[in-house]
Amino acid sequence: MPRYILRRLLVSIPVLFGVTLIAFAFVRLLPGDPAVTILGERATPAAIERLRTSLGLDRPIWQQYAEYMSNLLQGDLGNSTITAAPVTKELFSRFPATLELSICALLIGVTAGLWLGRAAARRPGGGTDGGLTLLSLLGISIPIFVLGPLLQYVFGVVLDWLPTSGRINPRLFVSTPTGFLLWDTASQGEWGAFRDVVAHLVLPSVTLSMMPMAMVARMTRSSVIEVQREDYVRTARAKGVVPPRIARRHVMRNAWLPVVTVIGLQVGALLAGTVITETVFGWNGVGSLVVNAINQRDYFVVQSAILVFAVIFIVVNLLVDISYALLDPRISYR
Amino acid sequence: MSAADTTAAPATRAPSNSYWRLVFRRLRRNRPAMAGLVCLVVVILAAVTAPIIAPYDPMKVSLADAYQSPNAAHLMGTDKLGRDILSRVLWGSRNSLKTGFFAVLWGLAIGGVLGSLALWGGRIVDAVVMRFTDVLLAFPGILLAIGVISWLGRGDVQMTLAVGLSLAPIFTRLLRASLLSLQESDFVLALRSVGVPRRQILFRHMLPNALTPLIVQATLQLGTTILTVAGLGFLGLGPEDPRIPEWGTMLIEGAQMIQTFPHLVLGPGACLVAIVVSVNLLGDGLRDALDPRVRR
Amino acid sequence: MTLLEVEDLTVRIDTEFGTVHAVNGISLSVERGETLAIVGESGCGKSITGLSLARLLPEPAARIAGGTIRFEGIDLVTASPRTLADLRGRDVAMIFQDPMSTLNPVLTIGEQMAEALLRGNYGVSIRPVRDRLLELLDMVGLPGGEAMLRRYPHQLSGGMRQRVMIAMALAQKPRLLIADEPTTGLDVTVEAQILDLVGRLTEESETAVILITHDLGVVAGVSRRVAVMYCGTVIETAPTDTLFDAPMHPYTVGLLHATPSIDADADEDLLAIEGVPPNQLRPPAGCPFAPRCAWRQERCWVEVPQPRAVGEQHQVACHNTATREEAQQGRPARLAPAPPPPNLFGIGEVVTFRGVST
Ligand SMILES: Nc1ncnc2c1ncn2[C@@H]1O[C@H](COP(=O)(O)OP(=O)(O)O)[C@@H](O)[C@H]1O
Ligand code: SF4
Ligand SMILES: [Mg+2]
Repeated sequence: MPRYILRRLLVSIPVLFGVTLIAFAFVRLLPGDPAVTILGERATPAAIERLRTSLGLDRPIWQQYAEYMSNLLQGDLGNSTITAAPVTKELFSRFPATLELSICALLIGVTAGLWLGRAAARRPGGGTDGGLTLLSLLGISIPIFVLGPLLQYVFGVVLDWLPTSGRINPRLFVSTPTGFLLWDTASQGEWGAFRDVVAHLVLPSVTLSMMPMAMVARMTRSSVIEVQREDYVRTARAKGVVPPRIARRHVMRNAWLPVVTVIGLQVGALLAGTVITETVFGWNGVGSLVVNAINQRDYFVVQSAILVFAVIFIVVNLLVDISYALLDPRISYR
Repeated sequence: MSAADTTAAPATRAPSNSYWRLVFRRLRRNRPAMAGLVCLVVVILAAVTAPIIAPYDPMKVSLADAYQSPNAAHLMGTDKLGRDILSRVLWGSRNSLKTGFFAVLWGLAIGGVLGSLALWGGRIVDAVVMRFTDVLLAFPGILLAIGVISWLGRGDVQMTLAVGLSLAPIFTRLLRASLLSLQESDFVLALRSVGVPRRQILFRHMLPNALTPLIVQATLQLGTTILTVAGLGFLGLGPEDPRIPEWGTMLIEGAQMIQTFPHLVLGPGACLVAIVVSVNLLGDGLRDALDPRVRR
Repeated sequence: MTLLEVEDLTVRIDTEFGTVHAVNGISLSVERGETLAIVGESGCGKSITGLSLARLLPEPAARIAGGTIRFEGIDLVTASPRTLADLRGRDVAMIFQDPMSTLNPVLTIGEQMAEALLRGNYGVSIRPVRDRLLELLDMVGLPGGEAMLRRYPHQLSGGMRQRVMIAMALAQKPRLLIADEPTTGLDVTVEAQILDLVGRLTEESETAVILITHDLGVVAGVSRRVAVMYCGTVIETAPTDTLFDAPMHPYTVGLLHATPSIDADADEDLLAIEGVPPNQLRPPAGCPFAPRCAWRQERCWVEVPQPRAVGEQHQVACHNTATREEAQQGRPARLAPAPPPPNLFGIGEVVTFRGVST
């Protein structure tokens, strides 16, 4: 087992390396003169010259990369060309919002997806199955920028149950030391504010959870159906094992394996989804930061945010692979 | 005894006429898939004939008619400049389908080259290609496209290239995996043992077989791709000229005005969902028809 | 009272291509402690029969369409799920072919064996039954004690996995053990050990055994009585000696010719029964063996032969047993083989010789 984990770790090193390389190339290989492209045509020659030297554009490319990496490892991702603030700082202040949203969405998506998938697999081809299959088909077909506004309209306007934008009512003054509002409000015992935060979270996280929910439901369904037909399930029945235990210990225990992989991959879709979700719901996270940065051609912010997302994706999938090995004793011996 | 005893045509069998006929028959019996196909054909027809069937000029501004709710004259209503939304949706579908289709083709092309390279380029090439796909896959879908577009600039072709590139690693891995399993399959071993030339095995027997999963995946990806293209439009990376009808761009306005004018989202949104649903129905049907294992 | 009494059992399986007539009205009986062998070529319905007896068919696709299965007087066809669940493992146990896929790959041997004792009613943990598990390991000759309990199926050889299956099946000293090709796929020495083990243990616990196999060679040393199946029907039942010395059904005759004797050279050409079994999607009207039979008569095409007694404990389902003497003397003169029936989906293969597994 430790050897497997080590090997898996070693495989992700070149991938991490490649990801930084691409992030690096993204800015340095901008067509034309990167400094001009970044600062725009109207920038003063002095500003352009400053950027050129700070990027080291006059030096060989491998030196530039080495410097980029060394800065990166020290947490220096450059400065925003719009606000001149360090990108790292900006990312850090926005990150908790995105994380809070993503985690909620993932939890909702995975829980509901597992439940729906198992319900559909109970009688394949039956009415429940048909209905749920249609539902998950809709889930993977409806984009966030359609579902989001629709939910806003129904629950925010027509029913007027939930807020449609922002993370918290701006008139509530709560200190937010960690930036995770659920935690901040709960730990201070501000239960009114906590409820407000939850209410703000519902629509965006449900919207964002639709895709992972549908994918997890589909995979769970087909995986459970397949495992139900396995010989060892028949063996368990032949032994007289009670049905609830067969469902849990034999079917689900094996059906989990492909589902776990799907969950890992869905984290990528989820991160990409935050970009649009945050835009729709006025959520002040990394996603909306990226969108603003694109529109303002703030390349360093775009570069860094994409890099951060990629690194998260790699780390999550590393964890997924490790948990896979924990779930399947055959893996570590391969 | 196992269920596999009687289910016909394992995926590794050499394709033959009767195999494809069986697949086609299964597909025809799959009602949802057929419904998807019909719907898709209708959409394509509508896109092709948009210049004829669109009731209005999609770019014609008429401020007096701004923000009309759906009515007899404007079935999907009008937008803030009084343009007819139905006409814009119809014209926009041309753009969406075209970009989506070519992006998938482009992704298939890159994926095909990389996948074959991985398999026959030797161990080192294989390792490099696989790590490269790992790297590309690490950038969540739309983000990779965002990166490429902010690099290449906005526009139809750039959009196609960007989205296609983000699809490439999926196809690369799929092709490599299916070629690899074919290489070790009984039927290829059998062909080899009776002395069929390598090249003939590859082109006549292996590639056609490896195409099967690729076709299914490409169909399924077409839906996702149309969504990605619209998503990029929604993020403001659509056509530079705001007069050009594009679904994602139309939805920006809709999302901003959802409180007062929900029809701005409803029309384009419903069409978008309908197309993607039908593509996915067809893709699922194809997959089931080609690989009947995962069924009741 | 007879332990197991099967009458007119009929099983249908719904598939994409139509309904498979997998078992067509078979009758069997097994006494306490007795061993009955069921032989027949691949696809003739042996496994489906075996599974029906424990009510383990892959329902709802496969269903019992008629007949009764009386186990100690209880009809298993109409028994409630509760009764069945109670019965399985405790009174009727089963072991299967391919011990690779019949053990759960992600659970330890210990946990799976403990399940056979505890059935999960109050959860399953190894500790309370540890001693019993070690005894079971000992009983089936698996080394390693506690360490073995912590291993996973993929860490064991095929023979060892089958021993685990046997230990689980016999853990509760059932009254009937259904063994479906328990040695297919194992090599010859392991096969002998496993058969010996099953024989010894079931004798000790007075467990009746239904041994399902496609290999007549396996039957000889193991059971006193044999039922031969063809195309979902039992075509001949006889004491093993009688069957080998004086087979009565043309199919059995052919099968015995196709079975090489122990000392036959492995490379020697083996005899084959020409033709293929009929398509079980559309079973023929008369005798299922008619298209391949050298003794067939006109009525064989239209009239299904019913089993009838031709000797002590010897039943045959054949219209034409008059040529029995001829059959005993050697090979009959062959008729030109009738054109094979359409076999659309490769269900059933040509019987060539022993050793063709499912
Ligand atoms: N799961 C299944 N689905 C469909 N048909 C099956 C299934 N299992 C068995 N059959 C069919 O039922 C018949 C009997 O099969 P089986 O009992 O497994 O044969 P045997 O064990 O004698 O080799 C065969 O024609 C086989 O094709
Ligand atoms: S009934 Fe007729 S066809 Fe069938 S085995 Fe007997 S002789 Fe042959
Ligand atoms: Mg069998």
